Amino acid sequence: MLKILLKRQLIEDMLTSRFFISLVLIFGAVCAFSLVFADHFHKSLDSYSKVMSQNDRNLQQFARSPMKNLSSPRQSFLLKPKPELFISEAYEENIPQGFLYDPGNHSLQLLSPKEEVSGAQHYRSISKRENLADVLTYSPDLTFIVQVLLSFLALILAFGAVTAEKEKGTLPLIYSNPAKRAYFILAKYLSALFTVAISLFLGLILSLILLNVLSVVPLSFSLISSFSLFFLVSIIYLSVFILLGILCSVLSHRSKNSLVLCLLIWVFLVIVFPKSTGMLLTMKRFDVPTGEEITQLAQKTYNETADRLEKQLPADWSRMNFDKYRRNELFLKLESEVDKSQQDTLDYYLRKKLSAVAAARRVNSFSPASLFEYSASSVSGTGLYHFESLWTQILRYENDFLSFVKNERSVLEKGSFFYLTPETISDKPLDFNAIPKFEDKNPKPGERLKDALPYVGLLVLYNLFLFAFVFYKFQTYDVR
Amino acid sequence: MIRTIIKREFLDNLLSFKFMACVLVAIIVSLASTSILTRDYQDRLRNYDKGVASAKEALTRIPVYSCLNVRLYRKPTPLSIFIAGIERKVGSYAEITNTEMDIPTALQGGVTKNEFAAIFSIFDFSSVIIIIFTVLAILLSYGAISGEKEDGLLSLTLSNSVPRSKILLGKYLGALVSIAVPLAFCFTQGTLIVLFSKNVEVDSHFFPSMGLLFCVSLLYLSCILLLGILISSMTKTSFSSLLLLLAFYLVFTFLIPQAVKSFSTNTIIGRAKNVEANLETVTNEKEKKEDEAFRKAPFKKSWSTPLDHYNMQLYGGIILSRINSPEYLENQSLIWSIQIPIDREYAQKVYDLKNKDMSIEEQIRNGTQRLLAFIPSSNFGRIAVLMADTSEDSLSRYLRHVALYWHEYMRYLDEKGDFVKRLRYPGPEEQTPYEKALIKKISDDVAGLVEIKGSRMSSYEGKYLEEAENYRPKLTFLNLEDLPAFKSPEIGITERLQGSLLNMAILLFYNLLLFILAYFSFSIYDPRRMD
Repeated sequence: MLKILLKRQLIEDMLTSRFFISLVLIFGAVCAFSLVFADHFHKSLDSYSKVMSQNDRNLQQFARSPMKNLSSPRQSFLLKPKPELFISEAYEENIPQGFLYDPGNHSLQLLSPKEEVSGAQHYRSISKRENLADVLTYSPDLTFIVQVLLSFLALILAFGAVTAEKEKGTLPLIYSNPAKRAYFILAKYLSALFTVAISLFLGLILSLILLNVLSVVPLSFSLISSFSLFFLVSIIYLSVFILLGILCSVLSHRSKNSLVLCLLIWVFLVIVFPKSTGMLLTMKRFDVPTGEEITQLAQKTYNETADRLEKQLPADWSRMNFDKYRRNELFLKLESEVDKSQQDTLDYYLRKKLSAVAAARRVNSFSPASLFEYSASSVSGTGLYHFESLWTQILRYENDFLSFVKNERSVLEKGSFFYLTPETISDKPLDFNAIPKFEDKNPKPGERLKDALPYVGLLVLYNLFLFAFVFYKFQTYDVR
Repeated sequence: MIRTIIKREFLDNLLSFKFMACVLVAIIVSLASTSILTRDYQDRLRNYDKGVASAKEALTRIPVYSCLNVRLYRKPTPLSIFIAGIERKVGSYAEITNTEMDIPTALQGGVTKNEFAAIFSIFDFSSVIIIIFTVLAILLSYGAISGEKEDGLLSLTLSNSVPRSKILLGKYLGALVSIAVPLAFCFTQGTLIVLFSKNVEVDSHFFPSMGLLFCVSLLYLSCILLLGILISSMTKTSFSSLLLLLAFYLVFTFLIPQAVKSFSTNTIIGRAKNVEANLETVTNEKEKKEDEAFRKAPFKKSWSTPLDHYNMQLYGGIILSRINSPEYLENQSLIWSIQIPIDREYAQKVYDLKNKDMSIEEQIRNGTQRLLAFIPSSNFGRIAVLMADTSEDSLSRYLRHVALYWHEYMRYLDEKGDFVKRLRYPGPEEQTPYEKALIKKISDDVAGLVEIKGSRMSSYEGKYLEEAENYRPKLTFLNLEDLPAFKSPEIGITERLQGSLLNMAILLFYNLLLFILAYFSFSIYDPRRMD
């Protein structure tokens, strides 16, 4: 019986004009977006590799004569543009683009979004300037298509599930057959889900082909895995809206009312709510100092720590006889602690900023649209996830780099404490190929899915709850 | 009769669930957005006041004209609370200095606290209208004709001796009134919040602009209402008219503006590379010219002593020590007489290059805007930023004025007479006896040393160095009352209106066109129910 109902419903859904219109819309959007994306992607990748080669040049200079070029292993670590950005851009270009690592000063500084990177302006920071005018920002990516367009299609497919049948008078007829009510609803749900899934699937295949044709990136296992993870997440998200549509239909007696209700819910959940919680960040408890103030605070910590630690040095220490102490192990240790205290202040505020954003996102978890956005960005490893993963990778790299230099250095006359200063390394050339180099790697699909799990889990909970509610309500629906 | 129809429509709408829900959401969101953006505005204003005060204070402590850095702060407008535009995201001041002879082409500073907050959007008044009120307008109008038919009311209404045009007008006005009431409420609520919050200065543009904004919002919403009525009179069921309207909403509010803007952004930044290359050529040219000029310059052998630590920190080493050989001063004056004309010439060249580039960008942006003007929601957004003067045009106008001021500033420095007065240190005629004596002592010492190492200008490192270094000259500060004042460009309400005239005309044209179309379509509408 379920099969018959499903078949009937599928034919009905697929042959409507709304399905075709939305298919055309989705294809049009995918084509337009991928054209824009391909151009943009090539340019930002170019600019990224330029910065990376500048890093290599700096390292080469350092390797040739480590002692003299201690300031040159300075490297900029940027977010690498990934082809996954087409799945979910997640406003990656609006956030800080990375860090400036200066091992000589033991500092890792956040690049402000407008900052110049090694002479040339980073392509992305130029492009950012152009996006200032938009108040409500959306990025042209697949997430937008699913989040806004397809969720709307899902509602449109489902809002008349029960009421339309009733208006046509076919509902009582179906019940005259030995069909269970549950089967009826299940058939409606599955058919709508299938219809939406097909248009999404076609859209994804088209975009994979377009990305390949526009030579953004060759088809690879990792890209396909990202796409399939995205497909999975999208289906879970769209299912929420189908269930919402059916729920509206069950709650009202005319399809017109049901559509109005659907529309109101959609506007609120997809647009108004997710786009207004960002305002929470202006609240007192999420307040952070401005960039300038943070620099000053870090400087203050530096000075305070220096003053405090200087007391531990022998009595004859003063800034004037710096030369006498520059190789002293205790002095180096204190010096490194002073540097560390400055870095700690910077890190503290960076963490505070990130946690403020995370809190605002947690509030957004109320809206399935945001849940979807976040899970899409984490399964494709873009946006804030990309930034966080970059940060962890840099911290790991910092260790690698320092321990490499430490092993290569000429041993201090005595003592074992290591601090990267001209006095503690020899001027013996280093092997450039052996120096660890930084590379921004995309985490494995498994890890990305793990990041997305809380959001996906909430979406699934949404589904279960709505399903139970629809089922319960429909049991008592008056079919006359 | 028409009044009865309007009244009936109005009361009908007022009590419906969709109306209540939309209005409630609109009120809550606009309340939240106004209070949050007000706080944001207060932050910016505080930053502005602090900046202006510190800039003013800095001007009282300028020892020589070469340290005369002028910071021009841009005052935030309270209208940005309602129409955010780009104002929150661009910097807060332009800086003009004598050392870096650049004509500013962008603002610096600003109060970005959390850079990561950029992943969230801000809901300002224009987005409340474009998103929420548009949905309300669609919901109020989609059933105007076809819905009445379904209920069987249309035949009844037509059986009275009322012409169809009057019914249409009545329906339209009824819907307009029902949407004007919550709109007016939101505007009043926002204005009251602004008026009653502390530290918000309402300028003379505020009320007329708000009034105009209200009118334009109404004009835009009326456009949507008429579209709804038109579609409703072209379809048989209210259900299909709603579907059609929603498709319009989705495509014209989100999809097309998104795509068009992305394309235009790509065209604009595609050009950035050319500009960079051009700038590099100009910089190289400048360096070459400088090198050549300096090679030919007849420098004399001289010595100088370093500046004391205190002044070094305060003025960033711009002013020199007062203990120098006379030849050193001559050399310096030679350097600057070569450097300054070249610097100025190239500042102008670089500015011209950047300006040309910016004007092309502006053209592309304006072209995009003109294209988008045919989409009612984008058109409305554009008019709103023009009215509030928070658009890109406002920023470029400000920067153009800064560039004009730069010339005034340079003229002022020129008027201050000869180079010695202008740059870096007082001339020999202002030296105190102690200074003269010290210079004499060192000169003798240098003569005793026979030879000043290698280069023509070297720093003195002899036995009197400590004395020279520890010498703390008493700085006298300049009186800068005659410094030309910068007047921030402000445009009045008429200019704002003029700027958005074309966009308004398009909106008005849409209204008329849709009304006429709706009229014709309604006059041939079949009011019978198809049962």
